[in-house]
Amino acid sequence: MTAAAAVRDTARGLLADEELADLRRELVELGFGELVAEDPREAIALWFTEQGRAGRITGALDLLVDDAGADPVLYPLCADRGVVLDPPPTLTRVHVPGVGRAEVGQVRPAGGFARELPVALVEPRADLPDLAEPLLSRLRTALAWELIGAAERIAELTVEYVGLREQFGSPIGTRQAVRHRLADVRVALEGARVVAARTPLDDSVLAAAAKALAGRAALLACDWALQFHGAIGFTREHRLPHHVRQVRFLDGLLGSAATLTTQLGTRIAAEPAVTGAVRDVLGPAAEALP
Amino acid sequence: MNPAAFRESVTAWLAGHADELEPFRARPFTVLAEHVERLRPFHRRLYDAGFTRAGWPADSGGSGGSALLRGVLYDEILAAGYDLPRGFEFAEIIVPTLFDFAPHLARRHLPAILRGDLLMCQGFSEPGSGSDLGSLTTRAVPDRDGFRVTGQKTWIGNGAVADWCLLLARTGDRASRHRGLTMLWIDMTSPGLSTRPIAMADGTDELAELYLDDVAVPAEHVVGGVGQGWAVAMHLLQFERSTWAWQRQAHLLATLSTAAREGARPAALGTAFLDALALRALSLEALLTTAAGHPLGPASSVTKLVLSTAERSALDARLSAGDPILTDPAGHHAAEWFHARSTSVFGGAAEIQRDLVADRVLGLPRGSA
Ligand SMILES: Cc1cc2nc3c(=O)[nH]c(=O)nc-3n(C[C@H](O)[C@H](O)[C@H](O)COP(=O)(O)OP(=O)(O)OC[C@H]3O[C@@H](n4cnc5c(N)ncnc54)[C@H](O)[C@@H]3O)c2cc1C
Repeated sequence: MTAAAAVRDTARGLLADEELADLRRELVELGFGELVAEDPREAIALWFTEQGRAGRITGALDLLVDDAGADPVLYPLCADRGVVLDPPPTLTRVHVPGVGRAEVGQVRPAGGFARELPVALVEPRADLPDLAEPLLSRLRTALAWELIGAAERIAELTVEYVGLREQFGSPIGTRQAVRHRLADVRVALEGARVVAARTPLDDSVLAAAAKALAGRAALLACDWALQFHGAIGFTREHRLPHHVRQVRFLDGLLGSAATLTTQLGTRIAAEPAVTGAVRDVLGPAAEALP
Repeated sequence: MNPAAFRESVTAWLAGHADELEPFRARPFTVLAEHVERLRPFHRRLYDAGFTRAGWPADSGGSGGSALLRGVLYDEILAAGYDLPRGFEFAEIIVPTLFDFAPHLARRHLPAILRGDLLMCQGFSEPGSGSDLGSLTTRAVPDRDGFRVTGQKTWIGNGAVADWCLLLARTGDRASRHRGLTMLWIDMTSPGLSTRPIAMADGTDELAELYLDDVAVPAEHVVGGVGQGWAVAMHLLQFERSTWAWQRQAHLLATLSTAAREGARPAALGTAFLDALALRALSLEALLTTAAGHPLGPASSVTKLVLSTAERSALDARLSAGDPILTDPAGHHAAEWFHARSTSVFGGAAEIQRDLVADRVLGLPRGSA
């Protein structure tokens, strides 16, 4: 077994264990920091894909924030509000990346799509600045992998379901209308995956694009998964709604697919050479040949 | 030479000859033959500079090295704002197929192809056989020294300007479907063969009809063996659906730069950029796969679907800058718009690609309808 496969197995084991409450501590013990230091692209791709597949939201993102210190990390959502992943029961101080510590004004349970996820909405007693590069790009790449993992799982569940569920005497997955939409989901996912795989961690254009493509693919996967599961997909009996919440939340974190798409467009409008500059980081000349 | 070093020499050469290369700047065309002739000297200059031989086998007229070098050349020509001479398109679709199924023909013709002196076309579709290619009726009847071919082909890109055609014909009986097909390499100057250009909605005469009346084809021009035509055609389509798409991504990224300068709207630009980037990464995978000598497989259908989307969104971005009813006097935007839309039809319609992804990538149960 390769080293990567062994780490993946360990990651899957940890993430499958519903009893393990403090996954962040487990990650530290697993040596996540060293793995990231050794080969950041590989380690981030591996862990966040698995975390996405498992549908668990942990403090792993915090571990990527270099000087996180002991306080939970606050991720800006908008000018005066942020979100904390995996928050401890009592929360008084947060670490704001690029700024330092901030006192917490108010903590509220998150509603909307983040309801039931282990996250809290926080209003700190200081203005929230934007996250600075290159950290922002690294976190977006991690979130891209998490979205890809979640979308993969959702697509698998759906492919499996339409192969088994019979109506009108045959599996619903034999109908072209169903098959073609699931093919489109797979196509969107493949595009997101290959871009994420070739995103250098410090490239702001590619990292934003990777997260936008992953968000777009994951949202498409959710839409067709809900449609093709029929009524069962709207119940608490099924794990699908949990994955849908997870995807909606992750998409909103550090720039949604819609926001990032427009931001990329604005960037290209101001600097048309951006589309050609992609050749420096993604192309035959940037490949390490065997 | 590695791809990075090759890239530097190509970009330096393009920059150093910018004045002389001015006539080859990208611009839309209406008459295919004129377009071909305008770019022929460009192909020749690239050949003389030693670039077009890179990445092709040294024992067949190339200068060796990784096939990735070819990808670098197209990428740099298009990124610098030039048109890609016509010969490079089918060189990436037909030549790899010839190397795999009729290496003697590949070796014979490659030098002329690399000089830009030989143009090819691909004769598969017929008036009654589009998506259902297995139903085609053009017949190849055994003759003393090979075959005699009679029938009609349609929608043939380059058909009226090509020197050679890779043509799919029936050698078995009508009921033999896919099993009774044979791929033939046909000289377009053969007696009994005529072509007629088709006036396209985009204003060009890019496609043509081919009429074959008892055209003689020698036995050594069978590509891949009698009765193996379907396998050869499917092999070729993988290149058309994925490695050829590499040329298109370079074109689309350049188009987006232009669209940005013309004032395209951010949301449309961003969407098109994401599609082009996905296409770039997917077609790069395809280049790496073929360069390593591995089969492309059903991933090529994934790439073709992304290509269809990316062509559309790039043109949508372009149009977001201007008037929505396409009244530009030269009519070029409307022409390119039609062309972009046709990508989800040629090379196997999008519905056929989705069926292939559903069957061979997702493993879904096969459908009724
Ligand atoms: C710009 C351009 C260049 C081309 N160049 C070449 C060339 O160089 N050489 C060559 O041989 N051919 C070429 N073609 C022809 C091309 O391969 C055919 O157009 C294509 O295979 C579709 O065939 P058709 O046009 O007969 O459409 P049809 O097969 O009649 O299909 C019409 C439409 O029906 C739908 N459809 C068909 N089958 C199915 C199905 N099973 N499930 C669901 N929907 C379906 C699709 O939407 C399809 O677009 C070119 C076409 C174009 C537009």
